[in-house]
Amino acid sequence: MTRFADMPDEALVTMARESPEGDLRAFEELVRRHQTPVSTNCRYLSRSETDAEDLAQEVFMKAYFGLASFEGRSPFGAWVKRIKVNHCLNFIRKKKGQSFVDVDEDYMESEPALQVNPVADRLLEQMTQRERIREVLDSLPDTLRVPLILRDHDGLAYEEIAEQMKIGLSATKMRIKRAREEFRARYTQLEQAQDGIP
Amino acid sequence: MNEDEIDIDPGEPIAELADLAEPAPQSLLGRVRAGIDRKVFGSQLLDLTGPVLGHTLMEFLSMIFEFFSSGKAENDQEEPRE
Repeated sequence: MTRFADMPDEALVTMARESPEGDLRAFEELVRRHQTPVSTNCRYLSRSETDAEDLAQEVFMKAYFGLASFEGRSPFGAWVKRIKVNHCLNFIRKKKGQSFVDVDEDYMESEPALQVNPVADRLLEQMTQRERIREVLDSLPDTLRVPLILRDHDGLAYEEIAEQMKIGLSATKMRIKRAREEFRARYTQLEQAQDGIP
Repeated sequence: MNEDEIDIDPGEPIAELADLAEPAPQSLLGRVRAGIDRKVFGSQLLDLTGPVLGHTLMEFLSMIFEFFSSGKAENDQEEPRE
């Protein structure tokens, strides 16, 4: 086991490919190394712990059966990240039965329900910064949360986000800008409510 | 909109998003392993049963073909001659 832990990803990928059927030790080490970012990202994209676990499992299974097509031009982690983004976005599209395209850019003004404080019942609880971030992220609509996570958690380029979400580049930039503004506003609102500031 | 213009110091709490890390469920590794094993087993089973199923299907199709072609031959023989 220690032997695998000391090896770089590239060597593990080679070993996983060449391992006899049923020997998953090298691939399991890759899963151990990359499971936290994959799980975290699936959790915030899907907003569900249960769905996130299923999604993370499916992402690693896709990676395993796709190892033969992995050319090693990018690091293994970046390759898994692409699989994960594709898989999670397809999941959200199927679940919601919608695309990210046909959203009225002015919906924030026209949809008062989205402006209601989503955590009113938890205002009295003391939350850590991480918990606040989670609450605020979960309260954002898909059209804002998804590009925000892809950009500020995953670090994807604007072009990649536009391609993944099937929207234009300028719309992507605008969406991210608005997502950050909305995220910041809701976060501040929550923080002030917890501190007892009206 | 310029990319740099958007990204100039998003500041807190946006910057915190990059460091978000939720611990992976303990069952994940086991689930991945079980999922891979299940799929490999399924494909092995298909590899084994595939030719048998194919052969059975071909036999069945040839039986149907023979049935209809022999029926047609009998009909041809029974047709009254003028």
